[in-house]
Amino acid sequence: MQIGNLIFILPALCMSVAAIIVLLLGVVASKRPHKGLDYFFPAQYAAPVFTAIVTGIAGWLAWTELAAIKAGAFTEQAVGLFVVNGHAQLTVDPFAAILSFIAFAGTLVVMFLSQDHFGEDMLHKAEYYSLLMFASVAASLAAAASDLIAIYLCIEFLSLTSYILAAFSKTDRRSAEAGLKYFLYGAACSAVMLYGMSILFGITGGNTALSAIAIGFKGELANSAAGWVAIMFVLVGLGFKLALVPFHFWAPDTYEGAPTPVTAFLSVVSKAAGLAVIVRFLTVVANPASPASSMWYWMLIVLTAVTMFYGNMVAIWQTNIKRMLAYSSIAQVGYLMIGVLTAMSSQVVPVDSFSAALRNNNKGAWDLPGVLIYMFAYLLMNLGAFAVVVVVGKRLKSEAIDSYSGLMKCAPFLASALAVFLISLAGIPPTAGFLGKLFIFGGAIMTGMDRHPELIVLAALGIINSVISAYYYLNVVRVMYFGFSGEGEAPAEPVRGTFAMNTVIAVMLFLTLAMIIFARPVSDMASSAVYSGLK
Amino acid sequence: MLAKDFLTIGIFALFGIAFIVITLIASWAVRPHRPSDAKLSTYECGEIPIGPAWTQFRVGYYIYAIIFLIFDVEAIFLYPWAAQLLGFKNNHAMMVMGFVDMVIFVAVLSVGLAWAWKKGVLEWK
Amino acid sequence: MAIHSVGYAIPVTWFLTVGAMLFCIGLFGMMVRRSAIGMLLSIELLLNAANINLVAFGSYLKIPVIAGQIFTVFVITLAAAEAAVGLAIVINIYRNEQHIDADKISAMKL
Repeated sequence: MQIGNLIFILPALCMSVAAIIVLLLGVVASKRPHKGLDYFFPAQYAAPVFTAIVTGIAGWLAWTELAAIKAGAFTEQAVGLFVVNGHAQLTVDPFAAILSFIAFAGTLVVMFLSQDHFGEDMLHKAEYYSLLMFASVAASLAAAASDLIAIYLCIEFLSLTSYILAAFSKTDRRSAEAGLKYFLYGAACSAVMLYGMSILFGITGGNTALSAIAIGFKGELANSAAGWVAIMFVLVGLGFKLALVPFHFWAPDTYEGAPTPVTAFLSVVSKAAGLAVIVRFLTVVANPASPASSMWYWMLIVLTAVTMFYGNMVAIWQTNIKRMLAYSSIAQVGYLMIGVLTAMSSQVVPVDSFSAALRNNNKGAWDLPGVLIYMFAYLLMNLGAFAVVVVVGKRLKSEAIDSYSGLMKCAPFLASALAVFLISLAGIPPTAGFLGKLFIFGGAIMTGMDRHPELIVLAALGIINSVISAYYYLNVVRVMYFGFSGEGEAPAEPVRGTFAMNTVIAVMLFLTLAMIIFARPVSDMASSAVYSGLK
Repeated sequence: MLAKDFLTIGIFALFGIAFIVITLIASWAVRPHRPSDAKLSTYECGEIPIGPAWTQFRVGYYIYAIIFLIFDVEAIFLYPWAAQLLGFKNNHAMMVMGFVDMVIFVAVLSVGLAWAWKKGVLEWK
Repeated sequence: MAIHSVGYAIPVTWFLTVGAMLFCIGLFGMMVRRSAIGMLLSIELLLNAANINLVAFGSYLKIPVIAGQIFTVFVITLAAAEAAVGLAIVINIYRNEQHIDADKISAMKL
């Protein structure tokens, strides 16, 4: 057996143990005040410390994998395959390693947000933080899952923890409603996905590994109706995780009702996991050369376009900033999906597995580096925006965009930080969001000029949508600087974040602005994570 | 072949239903019919019932039931594990590994139980 | 197809039909049920439809595989966990609202 391979899931293992420790911290509470373990090492401090360590380990792992690939050693030992019966169940390649680093880093930021949002005397805080840690474990494993059982378990693990987190404010009616809606949609979608998996299992002759399913989809299955139905069903479950348009109904209510840090988690970490799974799954079954597969390829293209337009068009009319960010994050997933579809379209022959696809990549037309860069940029700018929303929402007790009027006067740092994050979300230079969109749209146009004109259309629609989104993002900036509808009524007392929150926001702000300076190394890293087979 | 299989099941089902129906009819035919208040009241293990049966249970009961459900179903993993471990009779390393795996699994479950215990879920206040 | 039905009294399609029927009943239930508990029941039906498929496929293949049953065992435990989480959320809703009618739970505008 491959005990040595466990080093590749070391971050997830460490995080699991840490989450159990944090969970137990909640029940060792001493009866006497200011005594005992929970006083000197309470959950809200223990959890970020552990998560920071694990994020460090995950970063180190991603770094060593990238270094090994630079050195030309793209072997199965280097990417940590967990092989059972000749097929990989987990593939911890650099793509997975980077996405799991993104998941842990995002969780770390969400923990700082939670500290500020819930405060010291939160009820069931140990449970909250340990659930957050377990959710990040699930996200990190989902990034590596390459077997139907592993994918289903990781997605469900992530969903179950997210349901509880969304409903965590027990006495808040909106939070309970958010949890219920998320649960009902999520459970139904994942059950449909499971049904699709059961069909896939049958038609490929009892295989659950994606690499084995790929062999089936090379041959007769590529044009079979059963294969088509199975893919559709699986895409329902994955579309739910990403909040693609026909499966997005839960998103606005859940995002608005859930506690703000949880909303931040759902919009970034949960989506990173869904993105990783959909990339892996589509790589295996993708074959735009065959008529049946191209049916859902075209369908996804239409859905991506509709997702972008829907998210942006509805976001314009929102008066609640959390709800606006919810709809805008639906649109952001549309941009990410352009990258995924570009990657799919340039792959003419389906390959055995994701890693093999990377190894055999010979066209260089993949857009996956863009997806990774945009995902990282999205982590920075979306979590940054939510951090400001948490601080302002806590102090002003309001999430309405109106209440941000004149924020520039009473909280210049927070207001300008939020302005930068929103500008970045709109994709205006010189920000991280611009860099990500440059890679995604540029990749789509380059591939489109080669042989897929539909991708050029999609990129054009993406650019139009960025312009639309700039309207409502900049509207918030306008309200902050010039006041709402000319009234300019500033809040009575100055709004100030805690030192920890200001530091977190400052770091995100720096990275959002600095990413464009480090564009070259960032894109090199992302490319070598994805094009690792070139060397 | 198919018909024969179902014939067996059909005869079995027929006998099962007939047995119950005949027993009920026979006991109805031979028993005396003398109702009284005590006889018509709800059977509650000899106690006199208080209030209607369709009352709401305490929320504590539901939590107890949920915890039971989880631990009850998790035990499903123990059976295939136990059956499979015997197959590794000649492979000592695999046997040790299988044992360690299950110890980890049970340990994680125990942590959950310990947490529920300390949280007071198991107390019937 | 890698599936055969020679030597079995009942062809695999019968199992698949039962699975598909359960799936349809579950989906129908999800759409028409208004009580959150009713929706939970429908979700269980959906999951068990997939379970029937998995077990049937697993034993009707040319080379029967155990993976279908293993998958099913995982699904059963996950279904229990999901039911537990769902019930907890529904109990919480009941504490807040005094009813569990999913249609009437709308503190937020749509």
